[in-house]
Amino acid sequence: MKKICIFLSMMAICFFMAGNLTGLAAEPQGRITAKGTVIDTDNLPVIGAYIVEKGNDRNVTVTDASGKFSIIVADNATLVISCIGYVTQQVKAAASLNVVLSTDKEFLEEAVVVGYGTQRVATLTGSVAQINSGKITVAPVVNTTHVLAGQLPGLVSKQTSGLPGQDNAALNIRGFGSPLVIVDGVEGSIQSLDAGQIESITILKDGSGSIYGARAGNGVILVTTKTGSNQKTTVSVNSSVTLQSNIVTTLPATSAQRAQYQNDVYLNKGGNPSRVPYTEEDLAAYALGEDPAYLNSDWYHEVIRQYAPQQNHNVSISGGTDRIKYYGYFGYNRQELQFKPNSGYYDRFNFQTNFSAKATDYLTVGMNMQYMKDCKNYPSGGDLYQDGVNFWQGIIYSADPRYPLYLPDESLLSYANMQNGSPIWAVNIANSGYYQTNGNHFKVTGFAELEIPYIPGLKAKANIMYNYGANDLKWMHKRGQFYTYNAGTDKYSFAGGSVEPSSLSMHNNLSSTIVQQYSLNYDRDFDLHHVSALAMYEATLSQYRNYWTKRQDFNSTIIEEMASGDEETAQNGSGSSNYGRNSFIGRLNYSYADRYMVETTLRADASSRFAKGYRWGYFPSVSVGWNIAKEEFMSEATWLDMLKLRASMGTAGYDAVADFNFLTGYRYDMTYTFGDTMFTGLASTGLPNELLTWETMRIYNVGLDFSMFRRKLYGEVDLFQRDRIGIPGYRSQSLPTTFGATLPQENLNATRTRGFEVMLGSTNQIGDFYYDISANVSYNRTRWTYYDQAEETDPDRIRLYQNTGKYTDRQLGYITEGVFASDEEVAAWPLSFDDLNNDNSTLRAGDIKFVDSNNDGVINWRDLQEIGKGSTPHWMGGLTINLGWRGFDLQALFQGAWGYTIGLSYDSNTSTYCNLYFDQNHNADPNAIVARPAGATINWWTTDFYTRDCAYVRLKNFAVGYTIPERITKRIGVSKFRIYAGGMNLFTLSNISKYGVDPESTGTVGYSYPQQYTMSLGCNIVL
Amino acid sequence: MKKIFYAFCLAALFTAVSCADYLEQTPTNQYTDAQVWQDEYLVESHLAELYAMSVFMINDALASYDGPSPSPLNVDFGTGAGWSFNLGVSAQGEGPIHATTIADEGKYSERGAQTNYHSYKLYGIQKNSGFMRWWSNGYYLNRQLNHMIESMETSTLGKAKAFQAEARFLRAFNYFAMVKRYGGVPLITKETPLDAPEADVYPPRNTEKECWDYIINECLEIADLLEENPTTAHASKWAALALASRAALYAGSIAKYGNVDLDGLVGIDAGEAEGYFKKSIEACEEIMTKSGKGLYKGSMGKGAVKNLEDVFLVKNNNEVLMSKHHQGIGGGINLWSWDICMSPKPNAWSVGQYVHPYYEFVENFDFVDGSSGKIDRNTLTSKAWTMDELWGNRDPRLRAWTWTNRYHWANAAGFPWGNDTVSMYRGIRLPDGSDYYDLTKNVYKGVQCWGDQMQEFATGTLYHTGFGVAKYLEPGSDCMTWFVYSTTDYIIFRYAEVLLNYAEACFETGHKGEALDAINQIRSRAGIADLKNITIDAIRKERLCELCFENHRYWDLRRWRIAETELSKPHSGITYLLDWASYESSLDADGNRTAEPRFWIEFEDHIDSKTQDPTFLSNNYYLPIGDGTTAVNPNLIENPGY
Repeated sequence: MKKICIFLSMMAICFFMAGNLTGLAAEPQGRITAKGTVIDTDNLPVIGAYIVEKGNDRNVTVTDASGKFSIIVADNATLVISCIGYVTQQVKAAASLNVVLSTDKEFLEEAVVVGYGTQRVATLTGSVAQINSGKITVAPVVNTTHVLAGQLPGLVSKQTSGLPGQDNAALNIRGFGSPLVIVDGVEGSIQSLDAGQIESITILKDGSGSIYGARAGNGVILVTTKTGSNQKTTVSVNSSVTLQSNIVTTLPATSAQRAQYQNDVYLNKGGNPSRVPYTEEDLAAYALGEDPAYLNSDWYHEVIRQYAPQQNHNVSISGGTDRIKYYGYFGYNRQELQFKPNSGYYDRFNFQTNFSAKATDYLTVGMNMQYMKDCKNYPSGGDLYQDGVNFWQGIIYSADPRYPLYLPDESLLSYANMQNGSPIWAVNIANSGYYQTNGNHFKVTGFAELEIPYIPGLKAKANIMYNYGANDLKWMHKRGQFYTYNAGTDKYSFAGGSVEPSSLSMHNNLSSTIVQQYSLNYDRDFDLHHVSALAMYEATLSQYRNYWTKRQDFNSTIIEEMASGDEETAQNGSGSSNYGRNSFIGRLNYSYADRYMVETTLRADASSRFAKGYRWGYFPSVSVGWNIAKEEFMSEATWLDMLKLRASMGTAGYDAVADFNFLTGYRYDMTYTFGDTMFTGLASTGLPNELLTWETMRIYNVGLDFSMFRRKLYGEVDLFQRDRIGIPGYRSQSLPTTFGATLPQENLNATRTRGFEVMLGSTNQIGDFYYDISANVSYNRTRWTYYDQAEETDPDRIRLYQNTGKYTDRQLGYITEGVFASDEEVAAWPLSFDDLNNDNSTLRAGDIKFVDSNNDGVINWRDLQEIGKGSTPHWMGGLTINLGWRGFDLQALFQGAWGYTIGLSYDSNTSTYCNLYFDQNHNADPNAIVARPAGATINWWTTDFYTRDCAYVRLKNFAVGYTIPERITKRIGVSKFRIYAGGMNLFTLSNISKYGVDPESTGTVGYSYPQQYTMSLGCNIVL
Repeated sequence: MKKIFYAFCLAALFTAVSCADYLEQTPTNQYTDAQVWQDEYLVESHLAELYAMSVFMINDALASYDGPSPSPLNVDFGTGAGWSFNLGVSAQGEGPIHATTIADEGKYSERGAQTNYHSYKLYGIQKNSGFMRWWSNGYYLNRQLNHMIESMETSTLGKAKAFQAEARFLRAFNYFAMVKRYGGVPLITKETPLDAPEADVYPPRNTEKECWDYIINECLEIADLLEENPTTAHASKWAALALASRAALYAGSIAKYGNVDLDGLVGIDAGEAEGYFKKSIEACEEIMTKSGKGLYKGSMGKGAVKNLEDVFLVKNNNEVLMSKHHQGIGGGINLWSWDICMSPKPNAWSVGQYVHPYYEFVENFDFVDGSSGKIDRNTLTSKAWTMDELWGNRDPRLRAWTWTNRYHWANAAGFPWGNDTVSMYRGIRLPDGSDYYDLTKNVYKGVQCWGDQMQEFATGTLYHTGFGVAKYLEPGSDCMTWFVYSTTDYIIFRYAEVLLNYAEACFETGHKGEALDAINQIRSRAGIADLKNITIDAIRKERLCELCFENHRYWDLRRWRIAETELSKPHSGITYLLDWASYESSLDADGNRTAEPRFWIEFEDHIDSKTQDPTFLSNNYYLPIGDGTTAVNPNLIENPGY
């Protein structure tokens, strides 16, 4: 509720400002009524064209069904006549006008980024989806991966943690697994870019990705950053402040709840009822929480704040002439952690500059430089360096409210019965130490493009890219000592120290990649025939090196450097690796009259990861398209903008196998001491496998694109199948373990993924009102078509464990029907458990009631069934809404996913108590979500009792903005001034939110660092 | 002209770089097979890895260690150290603990992640549970050992034969770990090539007899090849003989007490028993007469108890035949987590006090005069006791190797009398006979209601038997700050076991005099009266007392085939209550404590579970091979009863 209030007040501020500004508009004098008709080049009326008085954009009208309009304007006014799909025209106002709008050629000729080039939408034959900068920067985000969910049909996104700096959404295309991300032509990452730097993001979902060969099997995400263009110098400033807060969290149990829980455990374990640990009076005293001996400390609110601030600012400059184009960008983001002050932050700086110059009529040279620096500064404890799941759980849920927040002697830290001693200590960097990273990523690209003289349409291009990354880490653990206090005896007891002795470790990771690309491009129209071709050679060398050092036992932490540690404890190490790849790439496109299109690509890839003779792989693809709307027989159907059938078949690879798997060898591993000498053991890396090569993917896709009534209705439908062949696997599944080797990975297994995507949209302008709404939905699921394992003979083992032919993400478990409501029900239960020696004597009310799935009277493994569908959604949906009215704009992106499950593990024997347990009537609630604490061992088994459907719909991105009319802002030299309010994740509908679990989290309990919602206020200024 | 110039430039660039050969890369993080086998230091490093992978400590650890890929076996210490890594994965702490808590020596504390394993004690080990499995890991190690043994066969390195003998010892030890679990297993003594005939790839099980014979013969053969006195970390002649004596003893008792099934895949013909016992005796005798080793008595000057503690604390003492060495920080780290698992101090995160010895286990320790340690329980609960009255005259081994209330421990709070002692009463018994239990306020007239070591157990939702394990514990170590910090060596073979093996084998072959003499050597070192007569039960009890918590008891009960009765019994623990009357009356005029505190004892019965007593299933004399394993190799026959 609170967040809605704050959001509304931000909106109100926004509207209030907008109202004031528009109120300044002055009424012009000397008016005429301009009347007229708008027609197109085919002499047909243009319905719904938008007529605006230039300079007074509140004065607007629209053409009617016969293309007629009428508007009162100043007598010297200029009218701007526009309609989607046509070229905008300006005419002098007159009493009678006849305006002919010509069709906007660009309308269907919008360019889409594809592998190593761009292509017109009209002639595209692959399954490709793209979003452009406008939709990427709706509401401010720090992590650019967050803007993609729901935007691109076929892209599956899941953000598992909300920890700043570690909150990447895991992206996959069509459920394929980790895709190849190409940033400006080289492998890169989306999260290291600012959203503001990005011009477009394209995903290649089918054979169109084959041009990336051995790495492209999981699809390709192409990110293109901004460059200068032929326009006057434009400076754009973007600035926003944001509040972020936890979406869902479960509050930790209170003292009274914990005491009650312990009583339940005590009794369930068969303890003497007259000696329960806490009497009714104790429980009542805990509920009050006033007596110093019966505290109910609120650790949660002591260390977690409601809102953490975030800031996003960036400035860009771009411009150019037809000979020189330039672009510059600087961005800064800061996100603080949700813990109370001095608890850490994530900072990122992005810097980019590029230019291209036409040195001569034939030669263009240019350069692109990007630099990114990011800093993480977290408290040292727990697993904040990963996703913070255990840390959040450790500090929030383990802290025992029966201990005081602070001790009477304030120089001593109060113990909270937890791994990290005390939450107050653990979240404070000054006390517990820090995990500090400095990432530096530098990327520079130089290119030269030569139009080959004498051969029109032929260009040669050289591109050399150098990527350098230097990441350093400084990890300081300080030691805390914690005490308990007994008021009755006025005595302090040392209750424990923090997990680590004081220690400092420093790591440095250096990586560099050089990519060279040399290509020839040919692109020419011959009458109605269009031909384009690409030939390219690409060579890549990646090198990686790291070293680290560590000392322990810091007697003083005043100087936090190695020298202060005990040198006897010094440790260090280093490592390195190299990787090279050579590739030849070819592509040929042919289209006839934009009606028939065919594209073929071939890539040959060689990787140093494989043995000589198994290095080269060849990845061909072919795709065809037929734009039916361009056929003669469809010429009558003028309402049809486009109707295109596409089909493609491609192959690609996936080379994510370890380096040098083809060599056998020995690596340093464990330690063993002989006398005074400690050896670092050399472990065999297992048998070599020279035959190991990348896995091969075959992707088939058929699709249909359509657009009608000038995009009042448009859409795409795609059906696909991907066969993954030769998935590296260990034959140990079928070879006896007595063989004794870590058998090398071989290209063994195979899967088949099938699915579809549908996208429908509509866009139009009705008077002042503009809208563009599109919705998409996609589905995929994968089966094993071959899985190497021993042949099973038992029908139940075949059903359960023979993977071939079954879905890859099945989860097996027992079927249950709630818990036993009473001991009588247990007594009357006719079944028994094999694994408990058919003895039901330990079952009680509140234990899970199993179902005998195969009706054989006993519960054993033969009753296992498929109870879950994996943790990655099979269905993804998105709805994007863009509305504009006069200066106002509204953008909303809804994202939904369903068809996946999680297994809650709020089990009854956990040492971290959860207040959800108390939502039920302790032991015998038929709707219980946890079984009887300290109950029968069968409660531990994997059952559907804990499985929950994760379906959700979430307002992922939302913004409303207002652009102050230019005629006002230009007085202060500003060509565009937009203010906006927006946010992310503003609401979520999900069945599992009530368990404190976010549907996108991987955690099985709601303990992880929570996903965040944000509320932002910002402005865009263009000079 | 210009165009030609550009074209030329471009062409030049192409030629300059197009041959960039990035494909030939050499690994920077591994040695090749050829490099390793030609370098003595590298071979020794590989041998160190094989030692580290051996079953010395992870013996009976978790199922999660069964599986050869990608990162097999036990992990001592990691640079990515975190909470779960050190404690949850440190097999070095968990292995010995599991072997102890599955037997009747002690109870797992029910805290932490391993609570589930409790159910194996209550319900037995089921077919596919994987509990205590040593199969895939075993064969993974076996192959590496075979590879090393074969490589050393043709090696020209000076130490090749010595390395080979050590690898053979590790192989025999590895088979011992498998055979004691499964009975007969496939004996694979050559590295199976990838293109081996099907019969080699899908081997059937050898008989149990063949396996024991193989282990014993290997040991006897390599005993002559191994060095006599290398560091105790290396397998020595004496280690090989000690393994031979243990293996022969196991084989003998299985032949004598077990049944043959599956055509000899499990069980040995009873007629063979005598021969095995004799082999055990011979191996023991060779150690006893030639090794120069003996029972450690170096700290006797500080008393029998201190001497017994020092058996496990003084490194490389003359009792140690072979041990896994640990050393602290500085020049490398090789540590284990025993101290934090067993230390009595209260602690911040539910570690320490992992194993609670049962009261029934404690009863096995007699008084120093030889009278029975079993005291009538009504007598025990009838009055308040000082700790000295209760435990002062017990077998020093009890006092050295377990701790309980008032045990000396540096920096333990020790309330209400003095510091540096363990304090573990739970409640106060008032003079009117009522008990004061306000565990929340934890105070009665200014006195704590529970001792500091009961922090986790005060509320009674977790049961404590009243005892903890002190063997191997470094004095003053604590469980307050750091996980993997124990530097004590873990003893794999020690002389006392040889004496016990000898005594048992002698008794089984009718040599009662020798048996009695060996047992009394042990007893006299321990500081307890000699036995006059010898019985098999006395030998077994001596073995229990002397070798407690050293991963023997569970396997002994199995080979004697008495686990079904001995491990299907309820156990109990005790609770101490502070006697208020003695507390009040012990203050002198100056406010000093003049007398030792007294405590009442209460028994906590059915301490493992109030609803289910422990069960040892008759089929658990042999662990299940498992469906997953037999399905892959149809030639493997599953053990009986699964």
